[in-house]
Amino acid sequence: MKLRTILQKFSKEDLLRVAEFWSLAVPESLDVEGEGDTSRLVEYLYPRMQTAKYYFRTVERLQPLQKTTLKFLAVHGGEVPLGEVIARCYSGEEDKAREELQDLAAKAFVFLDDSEPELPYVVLPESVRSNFELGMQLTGYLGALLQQMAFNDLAALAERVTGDKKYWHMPRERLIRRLREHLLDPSTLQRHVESLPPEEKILFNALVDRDGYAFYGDLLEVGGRRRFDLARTEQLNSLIQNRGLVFQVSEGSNKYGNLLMIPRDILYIVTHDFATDDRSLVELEQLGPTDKDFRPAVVVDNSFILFRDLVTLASFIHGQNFKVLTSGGMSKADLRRVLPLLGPSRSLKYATFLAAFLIWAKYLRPVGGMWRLSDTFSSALASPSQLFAEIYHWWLEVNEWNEAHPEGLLWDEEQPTRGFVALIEMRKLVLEAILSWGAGTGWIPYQAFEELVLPKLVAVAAPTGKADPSVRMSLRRVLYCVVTEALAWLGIVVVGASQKDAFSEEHRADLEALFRKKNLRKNESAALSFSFRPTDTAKLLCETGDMRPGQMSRDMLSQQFPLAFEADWVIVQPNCEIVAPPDLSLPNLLSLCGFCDVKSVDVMTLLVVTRESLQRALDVGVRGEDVRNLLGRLSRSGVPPTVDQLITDILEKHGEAVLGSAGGYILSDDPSVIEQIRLQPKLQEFLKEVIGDKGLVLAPGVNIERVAKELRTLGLMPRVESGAVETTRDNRFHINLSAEEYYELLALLNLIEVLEDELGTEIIEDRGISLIHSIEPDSAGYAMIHEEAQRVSALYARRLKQALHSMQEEIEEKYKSQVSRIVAKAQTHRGPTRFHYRGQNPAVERKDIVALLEFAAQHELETEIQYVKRNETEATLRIYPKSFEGTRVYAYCVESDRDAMYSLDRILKATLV
Amino acid sequence: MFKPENPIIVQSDMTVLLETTGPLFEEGRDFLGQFAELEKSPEYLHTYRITPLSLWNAAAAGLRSEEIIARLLQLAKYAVPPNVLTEIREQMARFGKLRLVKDDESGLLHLICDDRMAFEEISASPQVKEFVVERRGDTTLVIDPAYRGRAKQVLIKLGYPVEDLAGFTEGDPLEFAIRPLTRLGLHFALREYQRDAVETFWNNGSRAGGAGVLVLPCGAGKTIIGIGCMEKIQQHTLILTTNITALRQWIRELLDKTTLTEDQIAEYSGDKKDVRPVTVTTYQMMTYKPSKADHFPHMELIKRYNWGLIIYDEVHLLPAPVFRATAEIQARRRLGLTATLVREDGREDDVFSLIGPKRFDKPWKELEQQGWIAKARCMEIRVPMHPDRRIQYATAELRAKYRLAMENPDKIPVLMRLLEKHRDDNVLIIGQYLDQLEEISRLTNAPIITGDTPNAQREELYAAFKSGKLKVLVVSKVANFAVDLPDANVAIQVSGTFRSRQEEAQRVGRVLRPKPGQNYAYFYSIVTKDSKDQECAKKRSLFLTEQGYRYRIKIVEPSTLADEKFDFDEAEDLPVTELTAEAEEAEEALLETQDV
Repeated sequence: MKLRTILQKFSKEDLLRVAEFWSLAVPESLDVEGEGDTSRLVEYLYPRMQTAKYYFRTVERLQPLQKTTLKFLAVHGGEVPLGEVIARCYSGEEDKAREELQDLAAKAFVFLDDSEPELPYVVLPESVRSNFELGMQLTGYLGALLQQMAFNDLAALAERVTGDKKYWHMPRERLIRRLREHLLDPSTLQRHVESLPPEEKILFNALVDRDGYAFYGDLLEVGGRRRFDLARTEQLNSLIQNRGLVFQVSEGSNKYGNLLMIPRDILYIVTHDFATDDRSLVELEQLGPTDKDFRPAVVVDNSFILFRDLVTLASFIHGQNFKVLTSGGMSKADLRRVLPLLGPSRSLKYATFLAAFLIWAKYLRPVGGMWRLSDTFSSALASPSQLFAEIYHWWLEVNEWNEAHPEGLLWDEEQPTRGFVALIEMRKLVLEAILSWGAGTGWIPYQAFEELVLPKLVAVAAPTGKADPSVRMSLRRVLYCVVTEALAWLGIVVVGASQKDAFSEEHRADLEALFRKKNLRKNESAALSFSFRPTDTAKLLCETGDMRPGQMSRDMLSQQFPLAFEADWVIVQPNCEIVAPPDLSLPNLLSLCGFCDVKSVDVMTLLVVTRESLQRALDVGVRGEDVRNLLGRLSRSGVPPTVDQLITDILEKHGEAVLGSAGGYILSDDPSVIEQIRLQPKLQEFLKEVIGDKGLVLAPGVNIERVAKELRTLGLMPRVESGAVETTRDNRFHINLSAEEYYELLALLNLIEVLEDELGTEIIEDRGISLIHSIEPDSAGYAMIHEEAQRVSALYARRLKQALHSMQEEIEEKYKSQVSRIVAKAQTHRGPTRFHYRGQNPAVERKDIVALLEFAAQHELETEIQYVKRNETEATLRIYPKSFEGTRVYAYCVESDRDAMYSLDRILKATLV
Repeated sequence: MFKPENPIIVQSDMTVLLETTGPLFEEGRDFLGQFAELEKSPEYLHTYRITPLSLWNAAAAGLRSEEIIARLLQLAKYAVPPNVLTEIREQMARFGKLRLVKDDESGLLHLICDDRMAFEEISASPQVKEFVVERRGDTTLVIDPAYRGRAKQVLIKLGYPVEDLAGFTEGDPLEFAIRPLTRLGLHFALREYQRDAVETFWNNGSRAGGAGVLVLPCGAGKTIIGIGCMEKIQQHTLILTTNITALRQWIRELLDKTTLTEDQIAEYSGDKKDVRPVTVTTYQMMTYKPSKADHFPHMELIKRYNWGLIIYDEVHLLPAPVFRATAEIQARRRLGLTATLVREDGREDDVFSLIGPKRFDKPWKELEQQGWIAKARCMEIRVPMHPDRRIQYATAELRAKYRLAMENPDKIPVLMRLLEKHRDDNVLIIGQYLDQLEEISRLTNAPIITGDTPNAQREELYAAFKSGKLKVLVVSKVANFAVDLPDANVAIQVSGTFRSRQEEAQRVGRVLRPKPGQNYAYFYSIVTKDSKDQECAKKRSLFLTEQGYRYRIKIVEPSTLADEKFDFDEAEDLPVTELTAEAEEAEEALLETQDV
């Protein structure tokens, strides 16, 4: 029954009480004090009362038992006899039940329908019913399934089940009530089942044996029958269409993949010797419960560790010279080295997952055969929400990570996909399932979750409906990996188990071996006895709509999903340890990782400054002063003298020997260093001759890095000069470039000049020109260089002008479209106008609003909407709807003069103007 | 969950960090000390580790897991990882699950276990079967009393600590008392924390007391506590010490502070083999074997006599054969004394099983703040190496490098400068290399004590140093352990073993005993800059820094040495907790008398 119809039966005083309880301020313009009818008040109240925002806010004020009653009614389709409600929700306490129900009715949450005095009903308004998000375990009850059927189908079914035509003339609500009463009465149900034709009874019993679920295709093969047995097909169709005992609950890509089920309450009666189903809501929820008392011995919660691991890994890869494989990835041996530094989720697969993302996002780039961090990483870290959005979308929507593969991703060979091309769809399915389970309520037993979700995954993976055991096992692995790996790594779920080693590497290896088998034995399946629960991150994703993949919007996610990494302090200990809080700002953490060794990533991040870590930092160009400044800025207690002294020592010693690749030499101001190197037997093969007491010439073709390594084992801290850039003692730089690189450099400087001309502004003033002069050779003999550089410059200038031209055209196009809209508005509209619209105008029901907006979008009509903004204030906006994306409408907003997205849930009223 | 004012941070690897700067620090420290081991205590954040042993020790002291968890959650800055809570619950539930009680009729021991699963697991173990006489029902195993220690050792290795409630055999009686006035005529009484330690150990003479370990820092008066325990028990006592000097120190203290007489106390050593109501010996004596194939002839000392109490001094150094002997005398009362439960050989669980659980612990920082031990000021002084020596060093073999660096003659002027600064103090010069020490002895006219110095001469020198006649004493590493040099307030280390953290701690410990007046102790380590010496010193000083000592580094150049004052920044020192009037009064008397 519609809420509006129910409210129309209320007196003015009752309506005002409802408004008060729902905290809906009635505008003065409605003149509630006057004698007028209540229709205006109803028109004001009902669209608001069916808006999710107002609804959930008000539900929270109800008593727990009242909330349970509403949920119970929603489970059964919103219409349940009063007697059944009293028995199942109030343990038969009639007085208490009536009192509570009267209270709910007065607040317009239920309607007590006593139009049939011999069998009064408690009715949930449609809007209330649709607002309930029932967990997966609470779907599939007969009343709810009947509510989804069209009237004609319902009437036909009722006629077939009872043999009576009277149902065709009955209102829909009453028809559903009668059918439900008929089928849930144990004696009539028993007679009905017994009267099934023998073949249909075989099919029905087969379905009962499978706990009430089966694929259409599977049922056809029951009893060794062939799938193309037309008689069997007819029998099955008859069972679905004529008996009211089997319903189709999900649609596959063809009919064989359709998932069929026996309504849960009918199944209960059949499997309990035709006893009445009088289970309370609590009992029903126990079928797929969230375990509130579960106290795990081990918990993997990566929600606050993911980013720190990402930073640690990225920094380690950057500093440790990870080679770029020819396939574009990095070797397992390299990645294994970083594992001891990562948080509790550490595994090679986890490191691979993070590294794959960094490469995909181009935060790691190949430079000279090694992976190096891009500058964009540091700026990306400044916005953790945006970064989370990236990694989340990468996992969810980029088909690179492969849960079907034991290692997730292989860089050194072609990836076998094993026929699973629907991984993205499966991931979304798992997310939907977690969401529908009820995020954040408690621990979800994995095995119960698997039981409910696996059939859906099978339906996705095997559209033919054939649940091959090996495919089924692979899907179990996919599901396991999605939950315990990707989702846990991303911090969307927390997994916990009673067994301490449940998520250890050894355990995973054992499980992997099991997944390769076709069946898990009972004791083996105990290995999957763990639980998980959605984290705060998941709750945030829910709120922003991003857990519902269909509604995902990358920009929205980053804006509305705050990840707080804002701490700007660390503790620097005299023993050179640095203890950083879990929410230390990520750019600062990256800077620390640049000159510290990470000891552990746990609740706090432990780092340590060592001689070696500082030396590595200085080797890659970090300056001692930067280190001191950073520590001084972040440290709560200043820089202890021991740490300061260590930095001083290393700065003094670093570069005590300088290795130059051009020409191959070692220089040192300290003769004892030269002497020490000269007398080292291991270094003899590298040395050619001694020059005075401060220099050594290396043999031709010597590997400079190898010499540097040997010097380090001697306890020295050499500085290796790059092949391209060398510093002189007076702090000048000698740059070594190829001809091509030189042309490029000159061309780029010229390009800035062109850009300044095009934009008519000075960006770097004359610095470009003077720099060009200072690096151009004076000699006339180098005229060729000048010409070549000019040629490259001209090419770049041409491309720049083309780009600017395209941009200009785009802007013109945009303005033209806006101008034409204004002009069109000013002229008489030749196309359909608001008067041509046949639907509700103004529209307040959701379906009417959608229809109106679709019409407006189709005919470019201006629409006025009453909209509840994110800050929960109401506003009247004028928009031009353009298109729909899930539950949002994309439109041009006249007031703000820009395109925007509007949630349909938040539109209270829409009017064509 | 983030509570910035709280001081405790629990990591999932069972370590706990404690912030020292907030107002709740002391509360957090006292709380953690009950069930976690302090691993390191640098200035701002202390690190504790929760181990099964530390939890069993807490359970033995009567703490309940739920109390710990509730308090931990209350004081935690961030959410506590659930695995830590589970571990606390599980491990603490294990203590008391197995109880060892004595059947007075048969004299047999009953191992009682109320947990059926644990009982079956234990019963099925082949190692346990070795000492089980019979199984009675589903809760009790009857055990031969001879295997009391062995049973506890095996069971703790299986993860089940045993609560030993089988009681003790009474030793031969020995009547004596602690003197209110020492033989030297000074006032004497146990400090409050010392009395607490004794009472906790004694536990009103119940079966739940009488065996266990007391943990106190160097200079806190462990010998006094040992004497206090002896006085409670009033029975024949065997005292095992680390070396002859410590042995004699015990005898001196017993004679000075108790009514025991010379004919009641015996030294059992290489020199004398007397056995009297109180016998003091060394671990070395116990583990002496004439040849590899022989048994330990002196080990009988432990088993043959009817001791009412056996004291294990520096129990963290207890050698394996003594453990074996101790396993056979579990009916005797046992007292372990130590500054740390951490053993280099990892046999902490044997200490727990065979000596007993930790009964008392007092962090040194607390005692320092209360003025019971001296406030240490540490400085590392880096001295450059002469260029000629540097060349020699650069081209030397590794081992020679250590020696060249540590014996750097440029350390001597720095040493002399320090002696000049501390000319009114009692200074110990400690070193590793005899040549270097002899040279120093010659230059400073200070006597030297090495391993070759006869005991009589050592005693004479110690006495002169104590009396103040001697202001500077040069000692080799023989002075590391249990040497009582109460009036030394300055230690200057000119060379150390390569990386021994233990050594550094012991050497600082030499000067930690309370001093009159400012109550400061100074520890200098002179090292050669940019050398292996500096590397070794860094490792050693790291340990001290982690123990909470402020460690300053000073680099001196020969050219500026004459102006160098080696001053400490006094403003950086932590405030000393004000003593109560009563404590102050008691302390004034004690500072003069309690020198162990």
